[in-house]
Amino acid sequence: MTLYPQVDSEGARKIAQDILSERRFKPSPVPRPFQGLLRQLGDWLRPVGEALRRAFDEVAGWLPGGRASLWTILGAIVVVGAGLFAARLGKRRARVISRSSTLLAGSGSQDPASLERAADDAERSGDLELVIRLRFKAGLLRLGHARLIEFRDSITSREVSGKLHSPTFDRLAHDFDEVVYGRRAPRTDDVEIAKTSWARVLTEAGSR
Amino acid sequence: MNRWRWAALAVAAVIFLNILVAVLDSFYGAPSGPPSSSYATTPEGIAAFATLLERTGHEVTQLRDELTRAQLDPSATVVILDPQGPSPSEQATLRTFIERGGNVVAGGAAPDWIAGIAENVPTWSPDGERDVHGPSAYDGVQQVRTAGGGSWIGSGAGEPTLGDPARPLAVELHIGDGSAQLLADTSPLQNRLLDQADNAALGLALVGPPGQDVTFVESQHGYTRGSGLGALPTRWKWFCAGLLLAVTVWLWAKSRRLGPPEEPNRQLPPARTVYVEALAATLARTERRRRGTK
Repeated sequence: MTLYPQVDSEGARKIAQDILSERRFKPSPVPRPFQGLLRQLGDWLRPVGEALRRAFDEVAGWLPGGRASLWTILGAIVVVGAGLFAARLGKRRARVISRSSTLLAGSGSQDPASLERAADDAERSGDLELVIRLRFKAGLLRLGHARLIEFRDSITSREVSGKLHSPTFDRLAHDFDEVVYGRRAPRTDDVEIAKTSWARVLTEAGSR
Repeated sequence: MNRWRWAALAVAAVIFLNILVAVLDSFYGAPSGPPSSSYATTPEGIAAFATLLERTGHEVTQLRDELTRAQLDPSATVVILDPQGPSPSEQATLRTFIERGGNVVAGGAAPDWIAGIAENVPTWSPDGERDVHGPSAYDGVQQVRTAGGGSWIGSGAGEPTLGDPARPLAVELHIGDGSAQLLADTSPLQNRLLDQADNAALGLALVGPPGQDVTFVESQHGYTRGSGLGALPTRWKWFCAGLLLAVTVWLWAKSRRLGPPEEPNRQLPPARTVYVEALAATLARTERRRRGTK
């Protein structure tokens, strides 16, 4: 067996202890509440990282230009993928905007029946806020046609409430204001109430 | 707020805290560096070992070039511990260096690459003793403390130099005019254990007599001589790439060019939430609220 140079073990240990007492080897005083969790996460992910690195080196070995070429190809794939994803996202948003605009176009109409048909379409496409808006306007128009109110586009819920004294209308108006102006998320029971309560409003208002 | 937003907020908070800790660490000079790097002051680094060698008369250098481009002096010792994985051409360079008389101290977890510098290397096992006692080929080294991170199964074509000959911690392989000291577990040389038992003496014995030049291969720990963008650490490059991707996607998503050229109908005015809240705040401040409401 080869002889190795004898070292002073005690002396070497003391030098090492002196070196390790330096500030640069001391842990930071900054608290690290997530260090243990993140280190464990890193340990779990290390085999994945190693496998990816080996695969990367393997593929880079086949390409002229090695790692630089592979990085360029991967970068191009990422940019193209991001572009395709964003284009798809944009098309989907454009379809939503177009659909909402088409449905809203119906809201310029003064015919309650066409407004209610537009509301049914909006309900099928899942736009609950639009349903509540269209049914509210349709309801006001029906009240106007029944001469229970003098309908105009600028009429306020307060004016109508003062005219009708209908608790059912007050509830409908309250829900409408909460959703349209207060930005509360519309619920399916709001839509159900909007569908079924206007007949009762007409009855309550007509009976006065 | 729905649960996805809460989850996103939680992730953002963790990221922000980590960035804050990293910034504070840069002011306090916290230990940093990859495992078994002679620059690293973390518990798994070997900066203390490099300093120990300097204080005991060794000329220490850090190699930041690829091994294939390095001019290795065969009278020196090359230390390559827990490397990222030398390429076949780098392994060939190391082998040539040893054959010409050089001394290599190599090792780490799962060192498959060692088979590229020598034939019939021993098989590595992840199980190791935490207290390694003789027999020892190193005078003055009787007991070595480890983290229990590995051992060799037998000694292959070499000789066991430390520990049970059936499961040694260190093996020496003679190749040409030189030798390779193979460590199954590098933890005795790391900062966390260097001052324990005879670990420091082991490190000195591995590299050779005082005055021996010692070169640490830091290019295998991510330290290179790159300039410009090439000088950025790999982690920074990943971070910048991810940031660029996020910004690109955000720009495309926000761009109006991806929507219809013109809406066919007028958009309804937005909900007047802000107006209503402002009015409510004004009314709340007045003394005559009933009159104001009317």
